[in-house]
Amino acid sequence: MHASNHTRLINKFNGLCKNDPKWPSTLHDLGYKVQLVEYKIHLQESGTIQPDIVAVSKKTLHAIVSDCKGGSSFSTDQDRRYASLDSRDLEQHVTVHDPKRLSHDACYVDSEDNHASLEGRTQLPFITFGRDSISKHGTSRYEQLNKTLDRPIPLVDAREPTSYYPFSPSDASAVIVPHVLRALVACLTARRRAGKIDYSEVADQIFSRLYSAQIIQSRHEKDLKKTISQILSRLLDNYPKLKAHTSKLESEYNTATLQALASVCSDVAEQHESQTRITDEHW
Amino acid sequence: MEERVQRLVRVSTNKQFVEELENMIIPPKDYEDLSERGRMRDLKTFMLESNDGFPIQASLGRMSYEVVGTGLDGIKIMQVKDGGLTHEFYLDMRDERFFRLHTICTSDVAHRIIQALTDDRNHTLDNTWFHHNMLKRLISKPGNHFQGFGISYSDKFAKERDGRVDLANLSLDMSGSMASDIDKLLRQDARINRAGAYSKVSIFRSNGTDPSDFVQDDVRYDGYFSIKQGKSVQDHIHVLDYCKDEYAKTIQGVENERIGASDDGGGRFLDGRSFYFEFPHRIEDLDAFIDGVFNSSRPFQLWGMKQIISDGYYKILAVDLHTGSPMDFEISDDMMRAYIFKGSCGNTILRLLTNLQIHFDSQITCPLVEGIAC
Repeated sequence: MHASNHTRLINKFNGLCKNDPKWPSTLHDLGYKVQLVEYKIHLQESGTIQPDIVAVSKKTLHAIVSDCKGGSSFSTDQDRRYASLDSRDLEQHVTVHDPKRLSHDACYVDSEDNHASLEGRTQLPFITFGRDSISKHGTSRYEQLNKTLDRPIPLVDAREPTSYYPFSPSDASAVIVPHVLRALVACLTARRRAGKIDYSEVADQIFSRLYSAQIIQSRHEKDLKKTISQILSRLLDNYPKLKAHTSKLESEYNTATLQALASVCSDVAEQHESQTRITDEHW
Repeated sequence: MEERVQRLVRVSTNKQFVEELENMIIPPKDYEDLSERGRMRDLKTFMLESNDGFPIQASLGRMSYEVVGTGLDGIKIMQVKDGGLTHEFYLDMRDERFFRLHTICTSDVAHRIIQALTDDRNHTLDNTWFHHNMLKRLISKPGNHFQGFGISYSDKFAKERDGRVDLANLSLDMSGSMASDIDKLLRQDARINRAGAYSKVSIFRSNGTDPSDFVQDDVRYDGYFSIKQGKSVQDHIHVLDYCKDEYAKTIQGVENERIGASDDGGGRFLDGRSFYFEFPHRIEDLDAFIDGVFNSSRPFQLWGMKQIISDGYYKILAVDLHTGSPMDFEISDDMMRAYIFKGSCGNTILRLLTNLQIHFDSQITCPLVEGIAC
């Protein structure tokens, strides 16, 4: 399992803010950059929202506050809060030269497969990723955005980006496990330079990756590291081959051992996925 | 045959250092080997990269070395003990990240030592990697004259089919006034052009006043420079400086695109983007290609776990074995994206691009890297 629908949508939307020959650069061309990821915003009216991505164009002083819908679940309460978002709520969180003039649009980002179940339940616009195109449903308050997205953006020969947002800490363990295994190998190969591996570095590395991608705040550091350490120790306990190969790498660092470790990691990820497909209680 | 070892002179000024490099090319009159008297020797320079400094001593398998000072700041001597022999290199550490090692050791010995240095798991010394267009630009720099080129193509991605491995190879070393014409001619053949990334270029440089004051330098894709003719060390240093400056600028540009949070003074935002590699010819066997790149060995030095994104489109969770840094890749039969993250080394991208051109397809490009240099 490489990613949840939610994670894929965040990456696809993120990709729109980048210049990439194999993915539309629609929002990048309008000057948007991703400023906040899964960031909690307190509303002046009342309550909070935690949009998946806030992209801001400093050029046009406009923010797109987006919530990615990986499935068909919909909360009218959440929708009401997004609708009540005031640009002043964003002022202290985003960087623009003239915050007083900042305008915004709250919107949903979804996929074509689920769109029918969400459509008609909100007044907010949608950016919908289909197999062959990206389309907008509803109207943005920012005319330039309406103009740009009025016609579907073709995705012919496009290749979705997947690595701006690696995973969410709330993703299924089958999504997280390959990242833990890769971090384990990164630590093993880096630590060869200074001595033996300290397994706590695996959790450090994953935290710093998610923190750097703004997916997680520093206040969640302890919880995330605990979760990663638990996943790692269960992997090492449940898959003796993995433990044997990591130990072997410490004493026998060569291409053959590294290749064997790659094959073991792939097997572990696969086996883990098939087991957790039956029951995630295993974890 | 036992190799004679020349002790290098401890220098105290830059002028003396340059003179000593010149003296290394011209054997002294009392040089014992009569057969070599009067013949110029190849001064070889290796340009290495590391972002954690140059270790002052290390044990490298059956070799070991120690760096000792001269009287000149930043110029050291690296003494390598290899069995009963000692080999010496001038080590120019005046740049904090790009180090130059000058020697007149035989090519075999020098390359063996450099390989041991870059293989050392305790440090992050790596070659510098000059991709095809970087070498091409070097040729056209003012004062440089194209004297020849080399191609050293070997298919690292061949898979056994029907019990045999269909290997494609091409090795060429062209020099002389017509080398440029041969180059153009060869590139008219699509198959040869595909295999035709420069593995080296030969550059002639002269200061223009004294006809005997010139140098012919061979510059290889892996940061190896050797004087083939002439004795103008100043011109050799000029070539080194140009390559270092362009390389440093490219690495800096690459590292500016690493994925992660940045702060522009007013707040954090998610910065960086992927490195898009364009494949002008479709990859025929994508599995063999992925196996070849992520097989944990030289030249790519990448470890990887493959995941399927969609039909014919894969994600690789990889590790750059040179530094132990995580990297992500997305690959289909006509493109590849590479992501490096804040804190990782930009040299990885140049190593990847250069070796893909040398071992897979000379026409692979990475527009972002090209854009930095221009």
